[in-house]
Amino acid sequence: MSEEIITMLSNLGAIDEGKAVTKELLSNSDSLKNRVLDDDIGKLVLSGYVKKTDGKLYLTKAGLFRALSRFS
Amino acid sequence: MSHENPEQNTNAHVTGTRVGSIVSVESELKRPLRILMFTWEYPPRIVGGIARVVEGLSKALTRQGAEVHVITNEMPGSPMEEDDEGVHVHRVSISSPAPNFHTWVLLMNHYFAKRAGVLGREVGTFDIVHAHDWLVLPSTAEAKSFLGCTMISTLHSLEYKRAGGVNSPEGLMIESFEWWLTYESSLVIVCSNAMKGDTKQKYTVPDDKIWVIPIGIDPTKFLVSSPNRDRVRDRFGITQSNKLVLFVGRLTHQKGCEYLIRAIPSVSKYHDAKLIVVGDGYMRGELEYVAQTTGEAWRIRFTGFIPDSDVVDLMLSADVMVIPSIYEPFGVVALEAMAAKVPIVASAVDGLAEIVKHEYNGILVYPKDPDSISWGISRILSDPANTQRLLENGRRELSKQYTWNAVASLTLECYKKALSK
Repeated sequence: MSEEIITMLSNLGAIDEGKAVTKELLSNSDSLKNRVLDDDIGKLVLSGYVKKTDGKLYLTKAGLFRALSRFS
Repeated sequence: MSHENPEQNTNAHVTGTRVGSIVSVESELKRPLRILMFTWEYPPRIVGGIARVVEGLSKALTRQGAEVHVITNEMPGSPMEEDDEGVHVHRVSISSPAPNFHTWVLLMNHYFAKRAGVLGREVGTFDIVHAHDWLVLPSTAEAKSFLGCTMISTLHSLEYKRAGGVNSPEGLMIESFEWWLTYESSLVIVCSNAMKGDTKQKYTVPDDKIWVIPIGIDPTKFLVSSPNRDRVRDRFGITQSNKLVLFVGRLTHQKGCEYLIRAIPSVSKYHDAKLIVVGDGYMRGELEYVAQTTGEAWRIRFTGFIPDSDVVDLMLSADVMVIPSIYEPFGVVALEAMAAKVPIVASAVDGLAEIVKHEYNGILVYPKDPDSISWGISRILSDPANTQRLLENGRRELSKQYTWNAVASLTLECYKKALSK
């Protein structure tokens, strides 16, 4: 689940504060639909992969690299 | 899916080998050779090996008189336009969100092609467009067409080997892009003989369309005044008596890190070893779990991504570097280990086995085999005199053929060959 969240943030272009997206937008994507994301998002924030600002989410550099590692 | 096609770009059937007649392209052009590189990663955006290759090659080509432009993705904190030691870097923002990765790739290519069109008007004629891997195929092929220039591609790895087989729609798309890349290009560059063999067989590419050009490294970054070994080791929890076993790489299936982790209990029967795993990736959680199951988790530390300077310090302080890859078209980390004078234990796979020669400049072990890896590590740690000999051979090999200047010279030769047809 965590991997799907960071991959989706990368697909949505949420790679800095100005491009942060809401949790609701994430949970409406096909791969995350009807899932409870709060715990996983919390873990990703604690691990330094995701940042939360004004209720919106974006990837840190570590999060971006981890998301893209699958495709390189 | 078959990618066999007897009509591989006929325009690309080179009639000689590398040393054939090379016209003096620059003197005919009356200006420097102008090259446009396409890559999804360029430092500081470093996902895998492509970023370093494009950076090292572009800078060396520039030093040799070419004019190099690079179109790549934006990276927070980096300027959108940059002169990086003479290399013109043009970063592009992918401003449309995508519902999945493969749609995102297509959007990225749309924005890359658009930037290339603007560059063509701003800069003038390009002679070569150079694609780095399948991710940038559509934009490079488009640019070849609307800029009217010759296309070269570098295949950095092959999906069917990287993913351990192709069993998904996404994998099929990547495979078809890889074939398409070989078809569109006048010449294809790969980094090892193993990659050449795989590419020929998989995509039916003519032998003389593929050039093997190795990857270079910058050994000077390992010549920094030797770090305080004790201080570095202390920082990472390594005591004087510990043997530091180091892994550096993405935590993905291809890199085989789990087999190294499984080897640690066996190694620690004879040596007070500690393993540091540098890097991150989608398998990190799984690998941390594997470490727990060994019963020796206290010997294993995951650092995640750390700054380059820390990686260099760790390499200069390690007792052995292990590269347990299942698939490795080249294995640049082996060259870095040679530059850092740290002994290597590597899987006998693909291009890695072309760089690391058993009992000459390192120890080769069986892939996916913790016992074999354990044996290799012990071989290094138990015989310092032999290890010293391996290190000296490695260093000698490195300075002979793996410099960026040598790699750029071969690449220029490849460009000129393609242009002279």
